[in-house]
Amino acid sequence: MNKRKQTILLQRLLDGEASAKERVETDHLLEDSDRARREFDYLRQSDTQLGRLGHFPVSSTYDRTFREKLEAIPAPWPEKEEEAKGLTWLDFMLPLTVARIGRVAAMLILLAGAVIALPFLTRGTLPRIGTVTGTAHIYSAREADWIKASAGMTVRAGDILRTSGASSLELASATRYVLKISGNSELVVRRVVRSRRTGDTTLALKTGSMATRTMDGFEGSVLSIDTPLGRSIVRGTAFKLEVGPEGMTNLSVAEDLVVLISFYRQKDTPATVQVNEGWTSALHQESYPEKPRRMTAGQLKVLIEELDDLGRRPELIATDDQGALREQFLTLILSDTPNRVDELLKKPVLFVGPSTPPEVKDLLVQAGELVRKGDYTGSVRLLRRILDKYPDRHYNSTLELLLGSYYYGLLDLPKQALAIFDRVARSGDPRWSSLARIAIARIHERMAEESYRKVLDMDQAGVDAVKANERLDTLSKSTKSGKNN
Amino acid sequence: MKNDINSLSDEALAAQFKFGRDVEAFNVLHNRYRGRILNYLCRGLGNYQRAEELTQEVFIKVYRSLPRIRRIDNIRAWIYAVAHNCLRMEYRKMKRQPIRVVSLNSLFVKNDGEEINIHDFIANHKRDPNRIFRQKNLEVKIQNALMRLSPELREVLILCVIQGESYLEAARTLNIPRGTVSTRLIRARNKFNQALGIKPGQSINEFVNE
Repeated sequence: MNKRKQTILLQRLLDGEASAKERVETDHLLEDSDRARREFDYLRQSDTQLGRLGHFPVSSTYDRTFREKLEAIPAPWPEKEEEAKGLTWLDFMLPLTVARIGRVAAMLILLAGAVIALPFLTRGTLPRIGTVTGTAHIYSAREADWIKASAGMTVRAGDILRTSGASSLELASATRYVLKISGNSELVVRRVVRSRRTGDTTLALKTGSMATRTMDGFEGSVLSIDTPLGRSIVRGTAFKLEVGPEGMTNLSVAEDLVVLISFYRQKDTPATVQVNEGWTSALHQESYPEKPRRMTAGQLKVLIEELDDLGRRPELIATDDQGALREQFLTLILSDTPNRVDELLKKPVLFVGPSTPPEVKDLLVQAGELVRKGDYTGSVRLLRRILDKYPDRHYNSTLELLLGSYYYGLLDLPKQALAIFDRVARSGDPRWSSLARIAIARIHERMAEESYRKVLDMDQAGVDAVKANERLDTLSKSTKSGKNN
Repeated sequence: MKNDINSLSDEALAAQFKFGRDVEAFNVLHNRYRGRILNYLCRGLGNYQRAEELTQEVFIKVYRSLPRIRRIDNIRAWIYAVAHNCLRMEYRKMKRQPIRVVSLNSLFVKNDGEEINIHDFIANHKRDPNRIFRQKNLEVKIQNALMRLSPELREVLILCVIQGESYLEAARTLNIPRGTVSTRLIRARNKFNQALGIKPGQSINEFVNE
């Protein structure tokens, strides 16, 4: 055994840190070796001398001064009441196992986080508002306020969609369904499942009517629509639902079948009927669903036409007929406010002459495709890219006119639209600059109209209201004369 | 009730103070450790008055920090660690000053449960003043030898030999590995013996009678 190891062993024995084996070893060492005994005594000397030191008592003034110092400092506990809970058995257990529990808890939290995050990583998109005709509002559950509905807005569970008068609103879930709410209707979005595989949606039609068409991607999903008296459950179909006074519900099916369940029950048995293609049924208060009856040929034709139009957007039409193109733009720009978006979507026009390069044609087709999907911002971005990439082309004025119409009609950005129309008006191209000037005048008129209407909303009997009414009359006359010209 | 509190463990007292906002629990903890901390600091500093002030500072830090600490699994080690940090701070302040030598004025002795200054004790006591004085003189000599050690060696000697802490507890207090405690202790013992003038092979009685 070397000297260092011997010293360590002897010291461990002296300090009571030696194991049983070490004690036996050192006992033998002390018996056999003089040198070890001398070293042990030498080490022990320090302990003996230090042991002679007395114990310092606490002075009599210590407690008083300490208490004074303690009273001078504020309470050390946190302010929040919830952090100062009463003492529980856990507080006594915690110190012993806190590190272990902490590690396990951290792992569990990570695991739970991964499990929670997985569906979010693979979830689908939320339904969006498509075309809005007239005035429609959405109650955003997130913002807890009513806001004006516009194309492209996402809809979440808890939101309420409301249309007034002759207005209408389309709601589309990317590839699953598209529904159109007609005027004076209220639709509550109760549940939206954002899964890639299924996109179950639960809605509640409080009043009014709605037409629904499911799309190819709907397979495996369930669309459930509640009315005050019952529930319609859909698996891939096209149908129309109407809610009248006292919750009276009418269901007309154009394709496949819809299950209609009445909330009226006796002996806990739900009353259910299946309404097949070309059939209709109704729900009345405190009764089972009406026995389905066949629609007349005329009724079915109207329904099919209405549902066919739903969610189908025409592709971007390219034409080289400048006269027809000018006429279409004029109709588009001068169309009355509630119908301008519909007009715009039904007749998206673009001048494509024989010298238009094929790559531009491809981009225009892509822009049209995006409009069809309801991605107006994407389409606008693409049109802008064409303008940036191929400046000073003969067709650019028509592109800019279309872009301006998109900005104004779809994205509700009048200032940006005015800037674009202004550029076309100043381009000096006689074919399109006059159209752009008309568009500018029309936008200004509409903006003035909106301002006067706001004045009327605020005060309907004051001097300002009289003036606003006069100006509105003048504007309406000038619009009519402009149309006739 | 008071007896119940006194029988609680350090950790239970700390939890009661932290979660139950019970100042009485802190007082019990304070009474339990103030003497040991005072001695630890006093031996480390060699100055009774300053050690007492520092003890109060230590317990004020404990009072302030206890509600905020996460782990209350070894309160004894934690209080010693707070005291150790205070001592290190004090060493830094002392670096500019010459080595302190313990004065007899700072020595107290107990007389019928009441501590009095050694001069008063000698003046009033029936025992042989020379013997008392010789004993106290030896204490001063030992303390001065202790003060000649470096702070690292002194602390390990105070904790393991005077305070009777295990290697593990001392390692926790000083925040060093257990093996380092053992190594430092060997060096501290050798240096301390050298400072006292104890030679290898010399018996204990020989040194005392010198």
